Parts: sequence; C-alpha cells; structure tokens
Amino acid sequence: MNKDEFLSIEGLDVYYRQNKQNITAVQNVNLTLAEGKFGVIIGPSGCGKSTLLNVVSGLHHNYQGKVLIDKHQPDTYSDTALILQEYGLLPWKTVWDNIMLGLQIKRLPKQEAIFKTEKILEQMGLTSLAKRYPAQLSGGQRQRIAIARSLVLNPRLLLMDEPFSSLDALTREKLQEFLLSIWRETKLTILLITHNIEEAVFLGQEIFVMSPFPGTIIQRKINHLAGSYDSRGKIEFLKMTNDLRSLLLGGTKNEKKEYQFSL
Amino acid sequence: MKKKNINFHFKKLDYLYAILVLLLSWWGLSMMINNSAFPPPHQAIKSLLESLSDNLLLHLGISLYRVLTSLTIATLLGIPLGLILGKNSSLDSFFAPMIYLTYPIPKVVFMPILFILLGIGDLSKIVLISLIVFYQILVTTRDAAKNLKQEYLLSIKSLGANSWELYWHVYLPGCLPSILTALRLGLGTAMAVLFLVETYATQKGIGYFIMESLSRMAYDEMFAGIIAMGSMGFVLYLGLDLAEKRLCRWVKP
Repeated sequence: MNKDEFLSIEGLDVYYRQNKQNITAVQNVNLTLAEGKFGVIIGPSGCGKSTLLNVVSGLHHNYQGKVLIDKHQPDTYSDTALILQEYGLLPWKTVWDNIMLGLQIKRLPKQEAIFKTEKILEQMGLTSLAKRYPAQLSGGQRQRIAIARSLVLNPRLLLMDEPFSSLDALTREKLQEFLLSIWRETKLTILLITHNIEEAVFLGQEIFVMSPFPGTIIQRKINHLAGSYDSRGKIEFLKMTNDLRSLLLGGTKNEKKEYQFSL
Repeated sequence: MKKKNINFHFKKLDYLYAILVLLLSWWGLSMMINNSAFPPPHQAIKSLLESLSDNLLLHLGISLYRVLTSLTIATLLGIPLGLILGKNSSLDSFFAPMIYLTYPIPKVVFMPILFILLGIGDLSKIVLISLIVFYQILVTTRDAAKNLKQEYLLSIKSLGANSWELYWHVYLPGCLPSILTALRLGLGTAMAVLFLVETYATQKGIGYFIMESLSRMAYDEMFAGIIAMGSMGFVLYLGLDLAEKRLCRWVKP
C-alpha cells in the first residue's frame, strides 16, 4: 500500500432517492489521506459532508466511484470508528455499557472487554462517570465518552461528523485540544467534518474544502499550523481562516447567482 | 437515599389520602342516595372480608389468570411484530393498510363468534382480551420504533452490529417506555373487557361474581366484587409502574 493513500476516494458520486428521483448528494469527489494524518472536510451546510462520511464508514452503499481504506472497501473494513454530531450514545445504557457495547459487537471475550473498558475510562479520566447515564452528563463529558467508545476499539481510522458543533466555545476548544493529544498519542488517521473555519485550521493538517450541494472537493490545503496550541493568535492562522472563508463564500455566492438566474 | 425514603413515605401518604377521600365520598353519596343498591363502604368492606374467606379468592384467581395470560400473549406477539414493522418500512407499508382498517373495529363484536369457534371456556375469553390489547401494543411499538433517532441506529451500525443486535440494543430498549405506556392503557381496556366476557356463559371469574350478586340483590357482595376487581387492576398497574422504574431507569435517572 502506498502510505500516502491510506484513505483513497476517486470519482465518487453519491445518490439518494427522493420523490422517485435520483438526487446527487456529492459529485466527483477525489480525496486521499495518508496514514496518521489529521484531515478535515469543511463545507457549507447541506453540501453532502455527512453523506461522504457515511460512505467511508460503510453505512451508505449507494454510490459510484472508488473508495478504499487500506485497500479495503468501506463495508469490509472493520478498523473504522464513527463519532456523530449528537455523540451517538445510547441513552438507556450507562457510560460503562455504552463503551462495552462496541467490544461486545466485535465479539471480544468478556474479560478482555471489561479490562479494555476499565483501561480506557482510567486513561481518559472518566472512571467516576462509569455508572452514569448520558442524560446525567454535560455535552463535553458526553463527547469524551463518545471518543472513549471509539478509541476502545483500537481503530485505525476515526471519522468524526461535526463532533463539537453543539458545545459552547470554551468546551469546544478544550475538546479540540483533548482530541489533538489523543491523536498524537495514538497516531490515528482522523477525518473530521466541520463547518467551523477556526476548528478546521486548528485541527486539520490537510483541509478539504467542499462546494455547495451537490458537493465536491474544490480545494485541498496543506496546513502547517495544525495542532499547535498557540497557533490561534498567529497572523498566519487568521490568513488561513480568511482564505477558507473566501473559498466558502465564493461557493455560496455562486450558488446564489445560479438561484437568481433560475428565477 | 434519605431523599428517596422521604419520597416513598410521601407517596404512601398520598395513596392513603386518596383512599380516605374515595371512602368518604362513597359514604357521603350512599347517605344521600339512601338506597340498598348503594350500600355504604363499611358494609361492602365487611362483605369483602367475608367473601374472601368464602369463594371470592377463587373468582379473583381465575380473573387474574385470564387477564395476565392475555396481557402476556398480547405482549409477546405485539412487541416483536411492532419492532419488525417499525424497522422495515417496506413491510410496514404492506401491512399498514390492514392495520388501519382493522384497528378501529371494536373487537368485542367478535365475542359471539369466538364463543362459537373456541367454545365458552377460558380460551375464547383470553383470545378476545389478547386481540384487543395486542393492537394497542403493536401500533404503539411500531410507531415508537419508526420514530427512534437515526443517530442511535447509525452509531451502532457503524460498530458492525447485525439486525439482531440492532433489535436488542437499540429498538427494544428505545421503545420500552412507549411499550409500557401501551401496556398500562391496555391493562385498563383488558379489565373492562374481562368484566364483559365474564358476564356471559361462565360461572367463574370476578365479573360473574359481581353479576351473580346483582341478580341476588346482594348489593354489599356486588360492591365487594367491585372493590376486589378494582384492587386487582390497581396491583397490576403498580406492577407495571415498578417494571418501568426497573427497566427504564434512564428516563428519569
């Protein structure tokens, strides 16, 4: 395998059925991500970012084009973990049971599953929350549990769909730093979706900018500022966010023009 | 823990107050009506205690057997079918018209047919009560399964869960609060239908006890039967309440 192509997407078109018609959700998406890299996809709302992530996670099968993770098709690759916007924790299971669930589904022996769950809770400082239900946790705590539930599976590719969007600004920043520390420790490959420009620049070594619906990757940016805790105040950081903003606004403006034209 | 105990005592006191208010209202009403057909509560309670040592317990036991068996059958059929229809939209769209057509039909109209087909024993009574409660559980479970958040399903599917694991870890626990609500509503209906079916072609059951007392104009015994039937419903209701507290701790953690 070419190490630079741990995740490879070529000419991806994704469709869904609506009112007996095929609607194109994303069109001709090309993307590669090397192993151990932190990639971020940014784009306007409704451009098909989540659809793209659903294809990579093996949840959406109705697509054309080539999608390979470590040379495997998404639905046959088991070392992927997905974290959703609303965390995806089951409210009827305690924190402990939520984390154990993935290990049970992967058919791990019970003793090993218990050991791994205890270990991940301890490593992430969450042991005291083990018996609580998700409704008893703050948004930040829930997101940490969702991350713990994914990491306990030892994935090689972590997919995150706007994981911090429902958190307040301070908690979001703390969790971004928390995620970075995990990424550095585990050397995971991460593909994160966001519509927050600052988040994209702070986290993404590679930033993929998507156009409005039906989305396609219009630019790939290599970001050397990613992962640096003091980067947020730098002029380069502001410049990068402005570049991205212009790209995204350009896309939105084009969409507006087309809309006006059609009127 | 202390807070829990305080709440528990409050609840017990609330029930005592409610019983006291009911008895006082009953007593006041019987004084106002002043008719032997509406005896005061102390006469009914005295008759209840006497009947319990006679044959009321036997009638109560038979009624309890009929209603519990019916609820069990309705639950065992209604929950899995409701979950399957809620999960599979194509199956649901096939069966939905049949459900919509048959759901509003008052099933008690089938009582004579069931008596003819299944005899006048327990079977016809149990089938009729089961049929009525089954629809309530089926429709509620199906709707709850259809309305489950996609996020729960996606997160478990992404872990590689198969269909059985989806049912066990997501659909069943996620629909449980709605199922228990349907069971509670179904219990009320089941008790009403139980009374009706026990007034025809039988000599056993609390419904029969009440109607037989009426025919003898033994009104205090009739009210003893009503108290026994009400208490049975109340105990079953408490059982469902307890089951909800045990099984759905996450709703109000």
